[in-house]
Amino acid sequence: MTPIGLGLFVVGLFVLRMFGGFGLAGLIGESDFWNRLLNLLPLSLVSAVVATQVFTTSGLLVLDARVVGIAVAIGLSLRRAPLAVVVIGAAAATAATRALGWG
Amino acid sequence: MSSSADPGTVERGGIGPADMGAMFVSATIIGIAVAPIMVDAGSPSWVVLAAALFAWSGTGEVAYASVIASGGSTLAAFVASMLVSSRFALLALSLKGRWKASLIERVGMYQYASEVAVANAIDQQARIGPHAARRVFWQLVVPMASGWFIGTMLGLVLGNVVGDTRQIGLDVVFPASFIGTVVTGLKRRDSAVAVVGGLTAAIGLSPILPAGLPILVAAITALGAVAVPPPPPSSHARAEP
Repeated sequence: MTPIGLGLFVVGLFVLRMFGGFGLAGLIGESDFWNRLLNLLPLSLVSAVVATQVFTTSGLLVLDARVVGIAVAIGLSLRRAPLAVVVIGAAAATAATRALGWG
Repeated sequence: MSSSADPGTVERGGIGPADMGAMFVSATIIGIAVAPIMVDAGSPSWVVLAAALFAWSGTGEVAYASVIASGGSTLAAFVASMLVSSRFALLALSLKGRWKASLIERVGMYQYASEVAVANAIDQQARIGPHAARRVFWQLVVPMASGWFIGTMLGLVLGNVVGDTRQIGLDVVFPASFIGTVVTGLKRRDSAVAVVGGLTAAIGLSPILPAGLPILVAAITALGAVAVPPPPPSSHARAEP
């Protein structure tokens, strides 16, 4: 990232966020439908980001050691493990799988 | 994120120091993972630090760096990073009217609206109220922002030492930090539709569409989730006076 790229990146992100918060939010009214949509929207986004980060590499579907790490993270989350344990457990499981020669 | 507040904190809401510490640690690890990717794409250290501090988008940085690494131009990298980060506009939108805030606080809220902070704020707003939503939002943002910046500094130092950060599993840290939110989402029928829709759209469309677009299309699946009747209020709302 060059200094010019940095400027574009920082300003672009700021504009995006303020457009969402002040622009888009001003366009929609108060209703049950919008309230429920705005409650559910972040969940769809989170899930899509997780799927992208776990199952793709540069736009290709890839099944590798990350899947093992995420499986461990799910198991730890179900057991209500603290976030730090979930994250470190996932990284350790992924690293161990790669050390064993897969993914 | 655990939502099991002990009885004394139920009314105020928010999270405890242990969860804030966990957020700090995982944000730090994410910073450690992302900084070397930026360095590999030829970014000077001060640019990596400034990007972490002012732009506040790990996925945006990764998208930018991967376009540059594969020979793309600055403009192409910029467009890719904006596509990937476009969900931040929707996250800022999702904070609409959660609690009364001054203009300055709203700018801060939109600037720091991340998946985990927004999802937890919405959860606490439904169960406890606007004050709890505000509390938990900032309780998550502060450790995330500081951990992310400190992690970036560490990553600039460690990157060359560790070499391939995939070898120590750092590429799974970022998605793993969202798993708690996803698992909680599966517990209600309507939110489960949002989760499964988001997962399916991203996996199905990633091979076809440019990076970032599948995530935007996935957002549309939230519309399908709205069509699913919500559970009766008594099951998730703690009685409010």
